[in-house]
Amino acid sequence: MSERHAGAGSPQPVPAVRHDIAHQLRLAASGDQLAWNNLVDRFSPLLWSICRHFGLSPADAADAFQLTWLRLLEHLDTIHDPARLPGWLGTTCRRECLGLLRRNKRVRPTDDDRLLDHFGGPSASADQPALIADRNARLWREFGRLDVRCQEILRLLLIEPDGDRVSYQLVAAALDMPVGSLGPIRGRCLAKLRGLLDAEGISDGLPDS
Amino acid sequence: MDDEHTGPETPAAGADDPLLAPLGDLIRAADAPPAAAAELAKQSFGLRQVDTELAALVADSAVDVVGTAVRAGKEATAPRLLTFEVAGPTETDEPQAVEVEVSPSGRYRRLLGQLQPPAAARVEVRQAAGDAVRQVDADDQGRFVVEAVGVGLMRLTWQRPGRNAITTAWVRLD
Repeated sequence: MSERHAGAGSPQPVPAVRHDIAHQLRLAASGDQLAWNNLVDRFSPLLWSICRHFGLSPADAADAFQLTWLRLLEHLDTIHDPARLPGWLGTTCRRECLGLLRRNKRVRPTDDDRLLDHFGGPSASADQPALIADRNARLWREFGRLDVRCQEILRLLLIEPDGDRVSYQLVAAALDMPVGSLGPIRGRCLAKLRGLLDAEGISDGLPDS
Repeated sequence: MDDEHTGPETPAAGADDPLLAPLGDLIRAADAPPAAAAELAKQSFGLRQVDTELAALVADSAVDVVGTAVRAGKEATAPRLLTFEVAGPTETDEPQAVEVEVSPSGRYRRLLGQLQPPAAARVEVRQAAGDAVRQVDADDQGRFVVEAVGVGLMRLTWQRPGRNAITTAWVRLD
């Protein structure tokens, strides 16, 4: 098959353009493991963040994450419009997370603190220059002072270095929010963060570009 | 959230840049998916079954009876009832389904199944955590038993003579 050349040979970058997702989806449906791997690599950070967003424990998050991929596997042949894949993944992940949450509520008391248990700090990197580490620690601390809503939205929208339309569609579906509302919320939350940093005199220490 | 649409414009991407890069790095360091989770998702491609009909989960006693508060102690002993059914019209107008009763058996689970329509069949059990496929035979009344199934993600497949096999959606055994 002429299509299969893309699945073998030299390692491929996974551009975040929709056309490429459509291509990988088509290859995966035809049985190409490497194309499937590319899809997993492309969407795993976002899907994992969504599982954590819903406050699932690491073990439950792992199951919801895995179930989302197994659902895609079940439906590989029936997703005829690849442009809908990001929204489909977001909706599916949301459903699996809520399903596991519902199950757990029956055996464990609801603990609202669990919703925040994923807001731990990043592990300190030993080889980070001290100045940058200190600046990052302060940035992280101020980030932690944002309202929870802002923290949650930014964690989802900034997980990808080049968050694009595809990731916004996925997040919007996962949160059951209009995709057009995410950009303004993101801008407002970043402005709040900037205000906190300015008040602390921290933003001067951030790089200009 | 209606005011989101009338709020100030999102700042131009450039205006965000000084914050975005370091904050993005911090978030990625905190929230990266475990390598094992992504690896398992890749390996799951080997679990794909083509040329099968999908039976969706249409009833789950653990979720449906929302009003019934089942306490932890009771949860451990009450069987869970799952019903999977092929959506849409079938060739014979008979619903193609399987009902499964899940009961605890030590640290494993025991499955008591009933195929619809009732008929003898070879039933396969797949689990996402391992590649072994277990097989049991349903009797001519469509009844089958699977002993000692591990907790975790699981699906059943049953073969039908002369037709596509039916496979259930993945479900988590707690």
